[in-house]
Amino acid sequence: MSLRFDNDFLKKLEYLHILSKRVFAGQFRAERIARKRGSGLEFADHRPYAMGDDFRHIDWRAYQRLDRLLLRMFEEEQDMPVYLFIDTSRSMAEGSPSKLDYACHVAAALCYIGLSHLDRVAILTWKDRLDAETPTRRGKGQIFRIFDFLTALEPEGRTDLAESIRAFCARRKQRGVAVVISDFLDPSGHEAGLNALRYFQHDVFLVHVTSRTDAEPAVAGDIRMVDSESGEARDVELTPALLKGYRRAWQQHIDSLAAYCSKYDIGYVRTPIEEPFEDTILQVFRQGRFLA
Amino acid sequence: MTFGAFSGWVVAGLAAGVAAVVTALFFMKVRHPRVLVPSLLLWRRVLDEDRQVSFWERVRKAVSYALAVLVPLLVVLALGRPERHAAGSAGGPLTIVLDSSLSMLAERPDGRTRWTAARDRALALAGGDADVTLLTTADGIVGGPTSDREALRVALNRVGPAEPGPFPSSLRSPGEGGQVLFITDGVTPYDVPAGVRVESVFATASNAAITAFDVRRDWRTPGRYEAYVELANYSDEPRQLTLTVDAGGARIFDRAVTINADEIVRQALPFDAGTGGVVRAAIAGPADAVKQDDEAFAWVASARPSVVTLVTRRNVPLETLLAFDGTVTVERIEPEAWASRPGIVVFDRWAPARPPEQPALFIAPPAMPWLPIAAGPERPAVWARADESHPAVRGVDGRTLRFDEVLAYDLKDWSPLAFTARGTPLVAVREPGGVGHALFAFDLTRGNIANDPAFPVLVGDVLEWFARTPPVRVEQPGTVRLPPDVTAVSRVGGGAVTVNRVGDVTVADLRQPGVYLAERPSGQVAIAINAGTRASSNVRHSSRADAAGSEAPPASAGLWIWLIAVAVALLSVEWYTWQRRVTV
Repeated sequence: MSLRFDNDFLKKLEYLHILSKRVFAGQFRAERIARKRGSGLEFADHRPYAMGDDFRHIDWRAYQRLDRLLLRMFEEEQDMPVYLFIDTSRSMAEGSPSKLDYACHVAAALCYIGLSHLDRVAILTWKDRLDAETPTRRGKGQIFRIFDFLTALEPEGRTDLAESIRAFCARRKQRGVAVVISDFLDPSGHEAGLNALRYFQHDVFLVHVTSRTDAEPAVAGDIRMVDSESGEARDVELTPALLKGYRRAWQQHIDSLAAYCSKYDIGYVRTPIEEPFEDTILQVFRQGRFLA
Repeated sequence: MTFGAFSGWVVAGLAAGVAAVVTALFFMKVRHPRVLVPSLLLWRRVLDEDRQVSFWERVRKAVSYALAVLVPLLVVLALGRPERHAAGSAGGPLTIVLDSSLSMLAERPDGRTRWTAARDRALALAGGDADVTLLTTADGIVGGPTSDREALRVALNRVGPAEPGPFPSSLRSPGEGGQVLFITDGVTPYDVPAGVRVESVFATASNAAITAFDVRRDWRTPGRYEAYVELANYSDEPRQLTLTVDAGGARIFDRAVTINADEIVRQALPFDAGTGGVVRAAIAGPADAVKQDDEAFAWVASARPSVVTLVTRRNVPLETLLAFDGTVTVERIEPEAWASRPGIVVFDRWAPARPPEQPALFIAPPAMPWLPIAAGPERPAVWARADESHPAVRGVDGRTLRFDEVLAYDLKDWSPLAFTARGTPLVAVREPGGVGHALFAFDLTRGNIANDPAFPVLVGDVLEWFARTPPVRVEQPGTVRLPPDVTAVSRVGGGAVTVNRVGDVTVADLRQPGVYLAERPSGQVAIAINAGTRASSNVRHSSRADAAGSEAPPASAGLWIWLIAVAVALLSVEWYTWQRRVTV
């Protein structure tokens, strides 16, 4: 897997901002705005005074008008963690370059963007469980460690997004941007895992990596079809009707994923691996409201 | 439907076998190729759902099986070379006549000779249920009636092109006995009866040939001979040939000869016969359709001195002529001194009371009990015609001969060879007990014969026919009729040839060009077999060439091509529907 990014490409990425529809609280002040009421300068909202609140934040003018004690809230700019979930199941070995290669390229680019803006970035790999992860890193100098980590990834095992996300949420409480990069060929479905992320109020963004053969299988005749993950085999006589049914199922699959994302206001980008990687980063992600 | 390559049973067996094998292969459980897919998640949904099965999906397997069986069956049928109308197609037996003239030896562009093409065609037509009778113009019936193709094949392999005979007279009224098919190249004209279907195997060809070859004694020089060669170029372009002539194993001529298109060149080559033997002429050149007529043979017997007893009171011209021949020893005696002695005897205007038991020439003898005179003499008379096929008068140009008187003998035991204008025999021969007797019905001293060039030729021919040279016959390849007392025939430089006797007819099958010696009690007979003639070697034109296109290949001759085409089409349909899954 080649993760070489030339300087021009890296410079382009540096000026991109990760656009988040929500503002999350961060541990450090950064260029990204987190919706944390605190000691910032910009007024955000009022809330009723409660016992123990700081008297200095009581809005006495409002008390004069309303005869109620209201507390003034201020926004505080903080950084936010970016969690990149990379699917390393066996199905990601499909294609040339493989979906996993492609996913790693995407992850590397996002990492670089996040690190360049002093975000804290962590990469987590998963298949039927949460597999490996990098420590939360900050700063552009960490990018080569990220590259090393991504280079070592190999596709293997089955897919179970729900189990993997549940394990992640049990360990990491801090909310952030959760970018899930996968082909979403999960026998257990994608909803359970994504619901868990939403429950823990992560800003979820899906990168759906596909290949042309996913939509148009390049197989014909009497074949024994073997699942690359489970090893399950089915003798199939591929007929036009069967292929038509498969295409219909594939369309339903991507439609259901897009509908789910639309329903819960989740960012969703479907990117074929046959498209040039740079175009995907610079154009498709921009269309997907991921980069600004 | 008949088959040209195999019998119907063989084709049926092959078809059954192929169908069985294809069926077994079709229903055999084969291990499907493994195809790794990222996930069966979506495939499982499709495979497990109840789909509406279309009509094509239901019949797809049956159609596929039918095509799988039909395609190899069509190929098997095509290999069998099927034909729609063949033997018995008209409801009766088929009689096939093959033109076996020597022109059928010409090679066609496809490498086969016309004879081979005709033979293949005949065998292709045979093999059905109906009986087939095979005839050739040279040999008559060679096989059948039978439906056994192999029997006909064996019978045809035993015969080949030879000196042609007429179209079989037994087939003059075809129709009632079924179809009659005549396969010919049209070079040799045949009187083909109406109703006989004609197929042509003609294909234009260029040929160079030795169309005539003969060896004659040069009477002017004792011991010298002269070879007469006639070369023909039957092609559109001039060609250069190398002519070689070998006599007794020694080469006497080797030279390049240029012949224009359609030109005939004649060469006379004097040579010394030496001890005699085979004289062979051969030509070599490019693009020659017929090989058999590129060589010709003649025979010169060993020249051995002969003793000639001349019984005469006085005959100056004859005595002078014999004295010039250095290879004979002449002794003249008076008729009163005659007593039987060895050698050749010439009785001049006298005859013994009993015919001698040795070769004898009688010149205008008086009437004897064994040689009566039937009528009064013819005065005057001219030489009108002669049977030059007999060696005793071969080459005699008697057109200028005038006789003062010709005696009319009763020649019931003789064979007249030359006649006057009124039909009175001039020259007659007989062979009592194998000994040659010749009769001149004219006096050599009365008329102009003593001063005519035909005189030494006539006397020389008769003497050669007697003893000095075994008579040489020139025949074309084929079945040669021999004298009844022939005991054995052998090819010079080759082996013995089987002699067949049918009743009082003795024949031998002499198809290979060369010199054959037939043994008789009275001596040898040399037979030179030469293939080339002006008629048979001109293979460039056919009287039936125009009909070749319409008559040669029947409509069904290319049926196998259509079967292959249909098989390929079906195979393409099967491939397309299978690869593209159009039918399902």
